[in-house]
Amino acid sequence: MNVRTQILIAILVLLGLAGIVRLVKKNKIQLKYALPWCFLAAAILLLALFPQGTVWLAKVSGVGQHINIIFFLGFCFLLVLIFALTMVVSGLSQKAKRAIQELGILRERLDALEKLLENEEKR
Amino acid sequence: MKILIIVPAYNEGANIEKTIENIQASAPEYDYIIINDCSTDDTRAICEKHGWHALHLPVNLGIGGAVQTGYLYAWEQGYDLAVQVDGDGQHDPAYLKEMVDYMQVQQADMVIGSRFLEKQGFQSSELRRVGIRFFSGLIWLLTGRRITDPTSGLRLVNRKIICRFALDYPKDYPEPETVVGVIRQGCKVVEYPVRMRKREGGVSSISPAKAVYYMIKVSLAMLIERLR
Repeated sequence: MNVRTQILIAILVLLGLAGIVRLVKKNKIQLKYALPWCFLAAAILLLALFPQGTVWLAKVSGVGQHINIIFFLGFCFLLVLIFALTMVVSGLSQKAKRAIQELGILRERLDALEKLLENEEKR
Repeated sequence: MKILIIVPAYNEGANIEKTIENIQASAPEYDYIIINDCSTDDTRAICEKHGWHALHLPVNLGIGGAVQTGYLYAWEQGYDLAVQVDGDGQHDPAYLKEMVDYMQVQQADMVIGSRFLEKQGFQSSELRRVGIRFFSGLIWLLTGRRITDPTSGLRLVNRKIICRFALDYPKDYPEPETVVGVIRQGCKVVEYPVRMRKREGGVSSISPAKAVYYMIKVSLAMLIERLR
């Protein structure tokens, strides 16, 4: 990897990070959900600045080709992230269901109350 | 004793009038509540026209979520027993009184209205019966109990199970897996022979395309329920 590529990657990552920080500041993303992306940015930055790291990782893990270890790690990161999202969605749908049920029951109670009041007034 | 009839209804404009009129004719001593699961047809208008007791969900939750709303309501309003009578007119409310009596005699926690105990009335299609028999066998393997009609929606439950269902009820295709769950918790489940009718209008929630998914999902859910 030549220096030009390294600088290009570093600039892109820093731009991305700045974008994430801006969104967190504007409350468009919760910090909790932005954190994995910040860690990813940090990891890419580190590997861009110290490419020897990838070579070493590829050697230690026995993968050989150091580009493959990058693909592999990226793939693992995405799998974990998507699984975490599945869990979040599942929890959200559970909460939404309960809120909708309570809302329905509240409306029914309100209808009953209004009917009761109407009858009282008629008397 | 306070008894609530839960009538889940999603786009049952064609059947709901008959269902409620049947309830009013043959089970007038029980309270009922229609859970309108955000129908897109005239179900809501029909309920309002007759002034029927209905709970309109603001968002479609699916059959499990709708029925659970009924159990939640029954729990909050202090009902002793709750029974599900589907809005498509398949279930005959004339059996409710007998089922309540049978529950007391048997000291049961849940009474399932079964089409297959006496094999009378509408027996469902051949293919569905194969599926039902499969679930029946799976329940026997998992719990050691014989339940002939595990997919029956006509189920009477006591307050103990109302509480359980209000807290935890599957989103879709809830019947077979909740039977396993209820038996696992040491509740007594018995069946009572009933005749069911063929639905007259509307469409069933289980299309042929969904059948395979249904079988796999429900079987897995039953296994997991057993592992809990």
